[in-house]
Amino acid sequence: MEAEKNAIDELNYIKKIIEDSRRIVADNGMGYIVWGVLVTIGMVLGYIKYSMNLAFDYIWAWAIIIALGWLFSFIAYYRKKPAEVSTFAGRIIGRLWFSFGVSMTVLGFGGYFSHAISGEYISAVIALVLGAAYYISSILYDWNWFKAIGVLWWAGGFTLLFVNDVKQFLIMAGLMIFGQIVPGIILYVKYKKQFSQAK
Amino acid sequence: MSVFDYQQIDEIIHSRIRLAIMAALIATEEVEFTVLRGLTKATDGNLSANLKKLEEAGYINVKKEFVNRKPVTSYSLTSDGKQAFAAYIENLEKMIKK
Repeated sequence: MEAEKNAIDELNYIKKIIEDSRRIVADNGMGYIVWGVLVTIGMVLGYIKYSMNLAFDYIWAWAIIIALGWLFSFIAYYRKKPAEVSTFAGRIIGRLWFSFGVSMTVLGFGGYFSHAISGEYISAVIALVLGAAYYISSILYDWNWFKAIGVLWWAGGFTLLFVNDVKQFLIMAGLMIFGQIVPGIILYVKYKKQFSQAK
Repeated sequence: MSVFDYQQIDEIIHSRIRLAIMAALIATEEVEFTVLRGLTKATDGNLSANLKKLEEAGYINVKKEFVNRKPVTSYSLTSDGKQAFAAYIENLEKMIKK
């Protein structure tokens, strides 16, 4: 009887430690913030260009923005110090965001130049892809708030399918702020807090 | 001794702190000393001594490196460690089902 009670206690203890370990945030959120800020700048530029009929080549602005984003991602990947904690879920999520990033870049530029996707709907497509990326990440991290961000992106993507004027730039900029930059800041704060407590 | 005998439990793992270390490492792939200290809520000395026991038993790998000129030590489970942990859990479950 005593041995059985001890065994149950031990299993509960193991469960608690495993749950605590799984809750560790292994991503500092900087990638989310940098990409979010860059794309928001692109959206604001788009709004200014089309609402004021300015004559500058918008696709070049995007080429520079996306190049800067990828440059940041590669530098961050190759110069990063070894993580304080490395988890299988964290590795999968890293690959997941890389693959979704490649897909979004190809959809954006390939879709535009091949005319396979009308320029008016590229934001909607990107928003729907981001919805999938956040939703899958939420399952791997076991974070419900990430699931809510995924739903926000899907709702935004659906809305953007029906908005094909300059307002789409503002909607996408808003989505980037609340669906990319804010989650990035939350991750950054959690990451810093967690490791300042550990040290 | 029956297979359900509590004494058959792996004595290396059967300590609160070493059990916590093994559980933390099974849930992750590699963990720094400072993070492990936070998860197990152990003191530096106690954690070091218990990590040493697990290392000597061949249950964990130790990786030492310099990051920004500071020494950083990380730990991960060996395949023997994973097997031992799985056997430990199995024994606990058998005891409960008994």
